[in-house]
Amino acid sequence: MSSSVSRIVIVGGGSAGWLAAGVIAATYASDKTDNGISVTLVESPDINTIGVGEGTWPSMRRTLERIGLSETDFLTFCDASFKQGTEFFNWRAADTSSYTHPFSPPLAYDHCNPAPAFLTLSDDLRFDQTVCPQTHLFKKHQAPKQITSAEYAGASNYGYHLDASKFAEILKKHCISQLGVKHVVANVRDIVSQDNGDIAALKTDRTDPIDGDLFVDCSGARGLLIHEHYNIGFKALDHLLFNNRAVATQVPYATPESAIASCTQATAQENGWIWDIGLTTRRGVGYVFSSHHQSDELAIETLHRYVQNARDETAVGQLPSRVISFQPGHRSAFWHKNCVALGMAAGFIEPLEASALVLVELGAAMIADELPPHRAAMTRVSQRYNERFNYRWDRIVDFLKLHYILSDRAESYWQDHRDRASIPESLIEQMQAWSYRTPWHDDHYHADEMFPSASYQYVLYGMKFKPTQPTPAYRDFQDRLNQSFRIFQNVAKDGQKLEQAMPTNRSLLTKIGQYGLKTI
Amino acid sequence: MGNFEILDPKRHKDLCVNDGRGSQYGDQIMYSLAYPFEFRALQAEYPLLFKKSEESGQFQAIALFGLAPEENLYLSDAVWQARTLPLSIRREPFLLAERRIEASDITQDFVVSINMDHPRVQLPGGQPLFLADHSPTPYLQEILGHLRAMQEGYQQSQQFFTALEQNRLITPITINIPLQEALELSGFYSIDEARLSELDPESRQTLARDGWLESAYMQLASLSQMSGLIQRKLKSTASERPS
Repeated sequence: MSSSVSRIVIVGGGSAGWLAAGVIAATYASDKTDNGISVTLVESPDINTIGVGEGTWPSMRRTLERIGLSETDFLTFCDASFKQGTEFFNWRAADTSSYTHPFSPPLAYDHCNPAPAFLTLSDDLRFDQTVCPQTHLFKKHQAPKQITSAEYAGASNYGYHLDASKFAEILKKHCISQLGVKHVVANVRDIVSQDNGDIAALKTDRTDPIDGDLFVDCSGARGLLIHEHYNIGFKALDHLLFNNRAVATQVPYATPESAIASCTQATAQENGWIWDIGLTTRRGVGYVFSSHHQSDELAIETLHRYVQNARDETAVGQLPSRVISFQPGHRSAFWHKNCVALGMAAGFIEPLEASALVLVELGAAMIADELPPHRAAMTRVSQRYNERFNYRWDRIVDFLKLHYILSDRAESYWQDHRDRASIPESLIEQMQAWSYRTPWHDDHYHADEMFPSASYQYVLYGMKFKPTQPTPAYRDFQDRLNQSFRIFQNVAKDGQKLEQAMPTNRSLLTKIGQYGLKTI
Repeated sequence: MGNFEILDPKRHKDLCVNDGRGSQYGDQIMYSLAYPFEFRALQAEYPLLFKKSEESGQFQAIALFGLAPEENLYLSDAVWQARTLPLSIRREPFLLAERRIEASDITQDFVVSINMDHPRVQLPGGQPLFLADHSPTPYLQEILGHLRAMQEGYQQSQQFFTALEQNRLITPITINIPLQEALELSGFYSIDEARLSELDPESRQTLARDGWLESAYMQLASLSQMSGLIQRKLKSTASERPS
């Protein structure tokens, strides 16, 4: 048996599976050349894919570019729109509170920390609007780029809102027709093992056994290989982040010209929060909540009330909604032997901050970039992979939890979130540091950081967090403040320039459908 | 923008249009559209560059007159100091407009329109458009010729840029202008000379057959006019400076 790693077999044809196939196949020459790599994706004809999250991070631009997909084709096929951040409503008790976590960092953030200066200003000012020009685009639903911008380039940082099933479909077409990925439609019936416990082949109900050197489990929460075959442990997280159910529905626009929001809108509720994502053709809306705190019936009622009250839209009748239940958590190891799990097979947590697809992108990129040439090198790579992704999961949990512990909402769900026993130790330590100083670049020294310190600033000061201890007496404190105040003035100017130059999301997306974007 | 009226021999029988040159006539512009069949003549006077239409994002060729918005360095009082002008300048203030035919998908019906707000119309004097028998004057006939040529030029442009894009021959260029205050022009594109020279023989032959190879080299050659434009800029800033 050959010990070279040249046959990659992916199980599962959702967005995780096709993203992995695309990234790996775009990285290596095909097996028709010497040392080439073959990529095969096995997909069951009987299982419908579940659309995990319709929001992406800006990293998706690089991922799609890497795969070689045209942004124009992607946007038009997936009814996609531009996502420039998340807008949070009612996360504090005052029922008119809102703030954003934009994708662009504060202006001049590489050398100037805006938070100390901001904290000296009036309470009425919003942190996001004071420090980040991009936020000027949100009010009038403006786009991060123009029709003259090249594909994947923008004046402001952006990711996407997309239709997840159409996304899997366009990736599939591209992988098969452009990247030489072999597509097998069959149900996996049995797994053939090697003596060392590696997977040798998959037996299916309608093909010859599929041999492989590395198997990527993208089979969803079921975890066909990582769980059902290897029985790798599951690290439950519902004691930290309680949300384990969602009711979701689709809301039509009042007119074809209705505005498309620039951000994912996240509106806090009694026992969770509602996401609201604007595509070109419809909105995707859902209530993610804790089943320990509330029933499905009440959740559906809350969702329908939200849809009827939602901004600027004509009232819609009862919409069909579906209930999704999930167990928040992840595998204790993601890469075991010659099998690595991606997507829901690796783990899943509530869609706050849309971490699902970015973890797939990061996982697929690491598999592709560090693909060991032979089996002997794989064990070390798998150890690195597991360390890295366990760390990433921990940071995601910390950052998501931060959104909840800063709230002063009175419902028991929110109080439970503030219970010290439900807060990870690492986050408690961070909060202690931030009680006398603001987050800054060095807070996390890890190369695999998920969220930059700017993201922590946006959430902390968006939620009106105040240091509880006096600021240390820095010798150059006043100079730093003055520098920040000058930068804040430039934020306003740059923001106005963006407002004047940028089209609305709707008009730009319509134009892209008509003319397309150029690659340069 | 503008206030366009469909040209009508009765309605516009007494209308006169100024055909002189000068900033008062709206000639104070940084660039204007150019069509591939004009490249050979224009490259002897102006830098020719590509730019995306702000309306559609599609590539267009332009002749560059200045280095800042509303700057035309070829203009000196009532003289445009060049031997040739782009059609898109000569046809002002007229436009060939698409007329939408009600209840029909056919929109290939074109009408000559005139921008009544244009200074060439607003300012007194100028050339009459129609003779007593409602037939066009030689001046208007010349304009109609320009408009027809532009219509062909528009289609030629689309084919030209499709061919360039297929062969990935367009590249962004940043023009650095070594003036006292360093100036940088961005948002412009040019033929990618390196890629053009490395083009495979087959693609090259196709481009040559369709005439696009010549247009591509004409555009590249026109870049040597950049230094002339900078000289004009230096001269104009020198004359502005109080002595």
